[in-house]
Amino acid sequence: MEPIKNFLKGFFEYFKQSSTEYIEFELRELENVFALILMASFIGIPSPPTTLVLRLMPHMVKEIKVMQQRAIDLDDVFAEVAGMFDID
Amino acid sequence: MNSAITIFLAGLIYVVLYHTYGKALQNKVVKADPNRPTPAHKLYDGVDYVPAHPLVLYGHHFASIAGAGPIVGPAVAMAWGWLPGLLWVWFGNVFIGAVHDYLALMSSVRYDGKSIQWIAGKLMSKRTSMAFELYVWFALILVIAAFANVIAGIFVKTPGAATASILFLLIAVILGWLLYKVQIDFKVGTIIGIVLLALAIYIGFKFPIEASKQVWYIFLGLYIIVASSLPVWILLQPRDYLNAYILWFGLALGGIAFLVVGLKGMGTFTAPAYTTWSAHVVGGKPSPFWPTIPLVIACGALSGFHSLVGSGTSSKQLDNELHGLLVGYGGMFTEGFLSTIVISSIAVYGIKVFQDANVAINFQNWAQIYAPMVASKIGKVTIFAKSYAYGLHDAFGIDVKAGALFASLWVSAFALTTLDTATRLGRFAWQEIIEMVKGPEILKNKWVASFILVFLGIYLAWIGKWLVIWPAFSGMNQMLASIAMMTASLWVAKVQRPAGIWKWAVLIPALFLWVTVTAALIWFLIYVGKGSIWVSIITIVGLALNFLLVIDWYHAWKKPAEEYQAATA
Repeated sequence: MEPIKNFLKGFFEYFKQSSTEYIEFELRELENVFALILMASFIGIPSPPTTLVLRLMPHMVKEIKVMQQRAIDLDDVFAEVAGMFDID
Repeated sequence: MNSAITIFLAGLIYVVLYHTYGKALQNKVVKADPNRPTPAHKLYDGVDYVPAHPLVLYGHHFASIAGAGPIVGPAVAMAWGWLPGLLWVWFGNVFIGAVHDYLALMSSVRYDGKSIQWIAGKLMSKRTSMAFELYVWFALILVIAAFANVIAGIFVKTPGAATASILFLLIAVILGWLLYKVQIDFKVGTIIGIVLLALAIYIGFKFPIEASKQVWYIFLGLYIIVASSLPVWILLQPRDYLNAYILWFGLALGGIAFLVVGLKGMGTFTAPAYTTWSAHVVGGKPSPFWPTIPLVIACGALSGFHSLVGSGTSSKQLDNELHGLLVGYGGMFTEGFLSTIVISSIAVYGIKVFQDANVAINFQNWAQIYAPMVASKIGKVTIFAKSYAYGLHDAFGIDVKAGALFASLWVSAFALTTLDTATRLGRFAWQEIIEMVKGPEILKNKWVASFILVFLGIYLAWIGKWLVIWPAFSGMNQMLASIAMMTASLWVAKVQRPAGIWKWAVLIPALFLWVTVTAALIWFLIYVGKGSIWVSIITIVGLALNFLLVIDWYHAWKKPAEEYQAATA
């Protein structure tokens, strides 16, 4: 019984996951854009002022992680999109 | 032949080969090592990279590769008789499809969960991976055309399914609103959704909406433009969630029904085992079994999109390298099993469905009229839906009309999801292409980008014949499989370097697949494609990329294996 239960769990989880994947994808993109704007002084755009950015930094742990992950995955962005394929 | 025997035989083949051939692939080719950390552990992030129980991941992987494909393909291939289709499903599944899925998964595991196209870029050239992107946009147009055609066909043949499907969309919106705006309990929301779903089938049964195929094309075109632009929580997300219940219920019910029918002695095959090797299958033209068969039967035997799933999400969740065999190899076997059920059901009840439609079909004219009739008069999904409904009736006494309506809703629900996801992805790809070529800003607008893609897709569906578009779409899909297999063969030969003849266990299917798909597409272009200039153009682009790939592959193959050491992740 246990194997069937586990198989079904995975089966249902896939649909839950694929249904939340879209939302997560949008959220990650928005967070990334938000973080880029907020931390713009790090890439040479002095807005908002550096002092403000430094004060905001401790609250930006998650956003910075997202930015780092995006930077790592940049050579395989298309895979992320292709991962959403549910053609057959 | 009896449906219980084929189902039992399929099970036997899959179990034996899993433990012999599959295990040998695992030990000799992939050299799976339970002690080597998988990306799920190495790169654990609690979001994408999470180790999962092998059976959970197996269910997960199977759910994502199963859809409308393993149903429609085998239904059309019945024109050659049930035996050739069945043999291809079994042979293609064991030696090509499952190997393809397993290696896509495992090579991705060794490259930190990167996608197969990324690995192709790494092992061959950057150009190969760029070609992928262009290729996908063209493939997506065909996806829209093929699936719009499937759904419009279902709606015309089973008007009750049209009502139920439209209501299903409304239910999804209601569920999204309940879950996100009202914020009701998740379980309560699910129960409400399922009850409403049952109600939708009942209303569909009572109030079918009848319209022509063209009307449905316009409706679907407008629907996917809107659906792909709406925020995802409104429609896509709750609908995907509800789909699980439909698919699981349909699969379990059908699987048990056809076993019961066989055991009751009512599952005798009435369709011919073999008609001719060149039945009128593709575009109504006499189609040689080889090389056109992989164009017709995709998912049940082998499908390129599986490599995107295997190397996209599954590889990031593998807990232990030894689980890969169950997930990648076993997952594909399960899909072959599903196709076996489809072939068996049509072989048992196909003639009855033809009789219902007042089409006189017999062993003599089967090869000429089966596929064209299925495409024009009976409906490619309807033939399965009705056979399935008869199975449910004979097994459990369920009303035939209700069974057919449920099966139609099941297939159309999946095709609808594919349709708007494809539109959304196609829009992204288009926007990226415009960005690359610095095209005018207006073309990047999401409505304009969606409209262009949908217009081309629906236009193809409108003018093209079903039997022309499905193989064209499949051809693009199988080319993807061929690219993945070629990549896997490089990985095996140059990085894994298995002892003895095991290198050939991957190289031979890879080359066989490349030659078959290329020959099939050329055949398609010459004999069938000329009917539609657009389908021809897309096929030519696909073929050009195919040749580009083989050149890149050849250059990579000539390089000494030592140069690949550095590429190992």
